[in-house]
This record gives sequence, structure tokens and C-alpha cells, in this order.
Amino acid sequence: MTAALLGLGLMAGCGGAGGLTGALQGAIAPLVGTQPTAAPVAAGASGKGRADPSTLRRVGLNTLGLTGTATRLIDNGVSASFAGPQGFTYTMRDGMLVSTRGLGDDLMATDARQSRAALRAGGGQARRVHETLDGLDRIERAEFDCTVTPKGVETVDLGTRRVQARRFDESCRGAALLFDNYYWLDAAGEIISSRQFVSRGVAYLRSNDL
Amino acid sequence: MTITAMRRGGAASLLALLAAGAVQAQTVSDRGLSYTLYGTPGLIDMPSALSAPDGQIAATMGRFDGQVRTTFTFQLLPGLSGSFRYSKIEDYSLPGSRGRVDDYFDRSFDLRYRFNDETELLPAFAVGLQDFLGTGAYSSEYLVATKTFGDKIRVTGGLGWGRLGSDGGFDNPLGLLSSEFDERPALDFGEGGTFALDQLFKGDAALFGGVEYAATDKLTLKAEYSSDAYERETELGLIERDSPLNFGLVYRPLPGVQLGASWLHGSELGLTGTFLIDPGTRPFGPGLDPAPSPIRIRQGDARAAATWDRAQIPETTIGATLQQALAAEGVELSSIELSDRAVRLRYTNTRYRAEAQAMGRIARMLSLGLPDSIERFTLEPMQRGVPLSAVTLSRSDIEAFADTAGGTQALSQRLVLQDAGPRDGLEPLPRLDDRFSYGLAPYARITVFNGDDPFQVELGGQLSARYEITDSLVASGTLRQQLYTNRENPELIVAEGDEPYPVRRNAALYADQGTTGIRDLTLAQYGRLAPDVYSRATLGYLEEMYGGLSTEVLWKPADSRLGLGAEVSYARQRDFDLGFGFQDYDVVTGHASAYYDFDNRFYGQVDVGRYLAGDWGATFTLDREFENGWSVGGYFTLTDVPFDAYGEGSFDKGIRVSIPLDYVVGQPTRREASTSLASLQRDGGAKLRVDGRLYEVVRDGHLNDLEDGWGRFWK
Repeated sequence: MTAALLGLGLMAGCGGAGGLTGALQGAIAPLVGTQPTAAPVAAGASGKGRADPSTLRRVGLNTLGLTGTATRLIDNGVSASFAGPQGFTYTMRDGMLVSTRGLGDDLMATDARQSRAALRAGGGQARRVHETLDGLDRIERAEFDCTVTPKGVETVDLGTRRVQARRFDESCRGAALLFDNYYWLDAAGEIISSRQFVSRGVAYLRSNDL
Repeated sequence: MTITAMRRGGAASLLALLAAGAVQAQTVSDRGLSYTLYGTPGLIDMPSALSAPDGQIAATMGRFDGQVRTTFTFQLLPGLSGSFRYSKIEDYSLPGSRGRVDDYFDRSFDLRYRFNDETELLPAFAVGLQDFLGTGAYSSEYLVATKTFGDKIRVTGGLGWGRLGSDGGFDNPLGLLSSEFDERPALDFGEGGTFALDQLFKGDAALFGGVEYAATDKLTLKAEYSSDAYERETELGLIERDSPLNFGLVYRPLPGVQLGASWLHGSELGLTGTFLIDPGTRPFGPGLDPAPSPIRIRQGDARAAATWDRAQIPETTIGATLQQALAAEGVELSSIELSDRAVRLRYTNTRYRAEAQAMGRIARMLSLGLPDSIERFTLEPMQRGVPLSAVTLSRSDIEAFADTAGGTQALSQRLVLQDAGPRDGLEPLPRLDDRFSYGLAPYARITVFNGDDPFQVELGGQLSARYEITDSLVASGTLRQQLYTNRENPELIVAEGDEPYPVRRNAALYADQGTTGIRDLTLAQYGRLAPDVYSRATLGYLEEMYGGLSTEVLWKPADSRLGLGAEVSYARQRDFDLGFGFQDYDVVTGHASAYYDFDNRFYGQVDVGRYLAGDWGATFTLDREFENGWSVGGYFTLTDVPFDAYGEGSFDKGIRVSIPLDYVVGQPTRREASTSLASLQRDGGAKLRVDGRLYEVVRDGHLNDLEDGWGRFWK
């Protein structure tokens, strides 16, 4: 219970989602905290003091000049949301970037299940769907044909440690857009580091475990 | 921002052309488009058959010896464009009139319709009417074809009448159909501003044409053969026309900016500057909205819970804490109903233009904070204390569709939109926010297009304050202090002959004498009489020139395209000093109104009733609205005031533009900057201007506006 409370508190503290979560800290958290089944929710900080490194990510948005540490806002099991520098947030589903918020030209939603399956299978073809918001408030759907290729084992610097990881490149082609995503998977098949495409305006989000 | 301007616009003709249907998208032809001295897509002074991208607005200033033309061209539909132009011609007078004025000011209105898209073999064809509503100084009609060859060359050729048939003219080929086409009758000018239908396509016709060459992406060179003899200008000695050939270039230094120069008639230098605005392209993209809170997905068994432990979380705690949390999103929660499986909220969204976006943010908060057994969220947005509709969402859908491709659409298909529910069962929450609010802001009022004094400006500061006695009973007022004006001392205008009482024409006196004064001071009560029926009563100093009591009723079901309303007001003219006093003139005015959403981005409104001067008639309005809140439209009013008694312009008509502020600043806001560019306002067909009319208040929460903003649900 305490964990849940603090988890939401953390959202406020990280400057993420800004004043909004500030209010959440005082307001919503008690409700969640009294839930008997709230255990998987926002399992953020473990007690006082330093945050659990498993809830932190190192992120970078080179085109926007934003780099720093992102904090996990919520862990929903199938997906997890993080708050990065200057309040932007993003959601990963099994390591695949599915949405961003607070970046302007946000990635609204994604279907990257085939790409994830291809990573798991050691490579292959995948079709992906990205949704963005256009100037008329309409959801724009873009489909991409992607090829996932294994690139061998590399040493990845996660900041706090260096690990051996299998690298995969995903090369995607849409009607008017090409992009390349990179992934590094650990022995268990989890994505521990990646560079994934967000949108034309934002380009790539780099995120890695600490 | 509501810019009321361009009085010469006529909506009737638009309707007629819309009825003709045929909406085509264009691909090749809007590439490398540039604008004429008339501010229309084309060559140098001659039009082409091209159209701008749908929805684009082009503001062009074109200048050559003694003439300045300022034109706004709006691409109403992919094939249809309308242009409003305000021109100054030095030392000019209309054909047939004697003498001349120092600076002749003229308003004109054009329409152009493109029949087809250009194909590999077939050019694009278009028909145009130039200055068919105004004084006729620029009036002409044309049929034109344009063909693009490769990436570099574009050729245009056309047949013109009127001005465009004045050089190299030959017998009108339409004379074969009827001898009536052979002669172009003189313009029966009257008070101007009426349709000169008897002139269209009559008299001599002539050929015009030209070539454009795209030297680089940024530079286009042009040459044209002009069939405009500039007869009147030459006769008055204003222009020396040595040649029908014109040469020019257009340079595009930045996207949305075009600068042009041309050598006209072998004797004159012409300059143009064009600025393009595309309502569909926001300067800040989808918006710089701060990230919303995340969604909590309930795990496994939790969803199946039948109830929650009220001993642990009392209902009152949930209401109070949600209220605090939602306040951070600019959402004021005013009442809540909780059951084991459902929650119903009534709230006022004060931040997001799209109610759908506020709903998305509320749904996220509810997913985070509410007990797991609560599966159904019913959101009832309010404005001015009145519930507008009820949107019911399933919590499982919220959890499933967040961040999921196709989720926005799936959610919109699964939500249930109904009229707002009854008050019973809702637990009112004490208000947290300040009931009193105030603001200090500068104001500017610009009056243009007034024949004698075309540019009047007034600048100052205003203090607005508002006190919400209840959610739906509001006292508000605005105090203004004028700091600068270039108006010259106006004289009191009194009605002469059969003219209507000057209900609006003395506006300048208010600006002159009311340098410190009360712009408005009212008590307004909003209500909901039945599930689909809304009411408003406003008492006090309703607007600058009139005070009194205004009452309104509106029938508008949440999912209906049609709304019907009635407004009855007693208005008395205020003193010119903007104090508390009144003058003798009073009137009972009011309208029955029908509002219709045509589902193709066009909204129509018809008001029938009695106007401020006691005249009876009807106002017809048609707006093209964009999903992101932009709106561009036109209206006209016909009343029993005869055209000659109405005065200049013959009857009231205009074009209006409304720009949501979030488009401009990129941050969420419900505001539309209240800068209004007032145009010539006369007395026939004048309406009382009351703030907060019901249709505009209510529609945000109704089907179409919700659909328009739905893409922002997850933003």
C-alpha cells in the first residue's frame, strides 16, 4: 500500500506530468492506496531513500535536446508508463514504444505486436501501425512494412553497468516515411535498450534500463 | 478571435454552388501556386483555373501605380474559392460618374469554381465571377483553362467578359444563344452591394492567357497577355497602357510567404505580397499539451469485484479527492453519483477546447483512483452551470484501447451519448474554485471599410470581472478606458426620410463620448427546462449600445443535427457616455432560429424575426467549420427596410472568421481572442449583441463537436 502511495507521489516529484501529478499526489493516491488489489499498481519506490533502479530509465530525444532519467509512473503488467525530463511521458508495452505524450507531435498509439514477435523469433517480417494526431484533430493511421534483422551480440553501456546483448535492427517502410529502430535484448529476451521511432516531429526516443 | 468583416460577402451564391455538388480534390494543380494582383490564384493580373489547397486562406496586397488591392481568398471547397477585396484607387471615379475623389475606396467579391482536376491530357477548367456584388469597378467574368507540362511549365488561356473583354474584344460568342448577350448593360448601381446578374457574361468577349515557368522551387517567372484595357483608368489619365503584355516573377522566401514583382502594360511596376494561412495546419502541430496522467489497468480478479468497501473509502472522500485531482486539469467537479458499479460526474471543463479531450483526462483520473468494482463512467459536461449531454464509457474499454492502434475510433463507436441525466442522485460538492474572477487586458477596435474613413482604430484597457452566484447564475461586467483613437469628432446621425432609426450608425459617438465607461454589466441565468430544452435570461447593460432584458430558449437534443431556438429581448438604447443612463429609443426585438449541421463541415443558421430598428426580416448564415475549431462563414440579412433606405450596401451582409486560441499558442485553452474587426454597420437588419447565446454554449457537448474533437481524447 505504501508503495502505491509513494509511486504516485513519485510521479509528482519527478516533474513529470507537471502540476497534474502534484495534485494526484494528494488527491487520488489515498483512494488507490486503500485498494485491496492495488498491488501491481505503481509499484514504484521501495520505501524511503533511493528509487529502485528497475523503475528508472535513461532516455534521450536528440532532436528535442532532451536527455535524462525517466521514472516509472505506473506498471500495468502488460505495459508501463514513464515520465521523462520536462514532463513528457511514454508507454512501453513489453519493451516496444506504444505512445508518447507531452512532446507535441506525439505518437498517439501503436500496434507493434508483429515486430515484437519477430524480435522474439530472432528476425523476420512485421507490419506495424502508428497513429498520430493531425492539425484537424483527426487520428492519422500509418502502416509500415518492417524487416527485423539480427545483428549479433554487442556490449551495451547502460550507464551503471555494461552488459552483453543481442542487437536487432528493424527497418520500416511506409507510404511516405522510412525509419530504423534498434533493439538490444538480454538473455531472457527482454528489451533492455532501444532506439524507437516516435513521429516526424520528434524522430527517435532512446530508452535503456539502468 | 472573431473577426467580423468583409461586409460584401454573400452566402446565397455559395449555397447555390454547393448544391451543385461535385467536390474534387486536386493534386498537381495546387503545386507552385502563386497569386495575382487581385489576390486570386493566377498569372500577373489575369486569373488561371487553379485552386489553392482546400481550406487555405490567402491574404494578398497588390500595388501598382495608384491602386492598392487587399484581398482575402478562401478556398471554401476543393473546387470553390471566394475572394473579398478592399481596394484604394487614387483619383478614380466610377464609369459614368463625373468628377473624381482623392482616394476612391472599393469593396469587391469574387467567386471561382473549378470543374475538374487536371489530368495528363486534360487541363483544369474554371469559371469565375469577379466583383459581381460590389460597385462593379472590377467586374468581369471568365472561363479559363490551365495545363501543367512537366515540372516547370504551366500554360493558361481564357475567355473574358466585362473588364476582361475590354481589350481585343470580339462579338460575344454567347450571342449565338441569345441576342441579349451582345450588349453589356450599364450597371444599375443604386446603393451598391447587390447582384449585378443582368451584366454577367454580356457584351464583348476577349482572349487572355499566359505562361508560368518554375525556374527553381522558390522562383516562378511569368508572362501574360492581358485583355483588360484599363479603359476608365486610361481615360482618367491614371494609367498609361502601352502594351497588353505583362511580365513578372514570384519569389517564395519562406513557406506561406510569396513576394512578387511585375512590369505592367509596358509602363508600370507592380508589387505583390501574399501570406497563406492553412487552418488545417497548426503552427504547433497537434498541440503542446502537457502529458496527461497514466491509465491504471485493473488486474485480473479486480475487475470482477461486485462492490467496494465503503468503510474504507467513504463516498464523500472519493468525491472530494476527485474534485481536487480534476482541478489540476482545469476541470471543476460539481456533483457526483457513485454506486457499486458506476460513477456519474457533472463538471465544467475550463481548459480544453474539445470536451472530448477533457473527457479523456477525466477517464484517466477515474481509472487511477476509483475502486476496481466501478466499471461504468458517465461524464456529464456542463457549461454555464447547464449539463449538456451524458457520455458513458466502459472502464474496460478505457483500459483496452489506451495506446492501442484503432483505439480512438473503437472507443468512439462504443461510447453511449445521451442527454444529461436527472439531477436526482447526484451528490453536490462544495465549490473549491474562486467564485470571483477578474482580468485586466488591453483591447483594440479597428473599424475598416467605412467608405469615408476607411481605417479607424481605438486602443485602451479593460477590466472584466465575474462573480458566479451559483454555477448557472452569473454577474459579470467590463469597464473600459480608451487610451487612443484616430476617430475624428463624429456628428450625431439622425434618420432622414424613410431611413430606419440610427440604431447602429452612431457607434462612433459611443467611442467618442464613452472614453471611460461600462461596456457591459449583466446578470445572466442559464437553465435546463427539459432534457433537450435550455434557457437563458440576461438582464442589464447587454452591450455597448443597448441595455435591457434578453431571454432565449433552445431545443437541441445531444445527438441531433437540428436545433431550434427563440429569443425575445427588450432593448433600450444607452447613453453615448457608456454610463448608467438610457436614451428614449427602445424596441422589442427577437428571432426564431433554426440551426442545422449539414454533416459535411457546413453549418447553417436561419433567424427570422424583428431587428433592432423594428424592421422584420431574416438572416441566413453558412459557416464552414474545421474540426480544430476554425470557422469561416458568411451571412446576409434581408428585412423590410428598402435597399435605398438602408443606404450604402443595400442590405447587411458579411463574412466572419473565428480562430481558436489554442491553434495560435499551441497550449490548451477554451478562449477565442475577442478581437473583432468591425465593418460598416448600418441600421437595417441590425441585431442585439448578447454574450453567451445558447447554441454556442450547448453545442460543445453535443454529437458533432464531440466527434470533431474525439481525436484528442487520448491526447
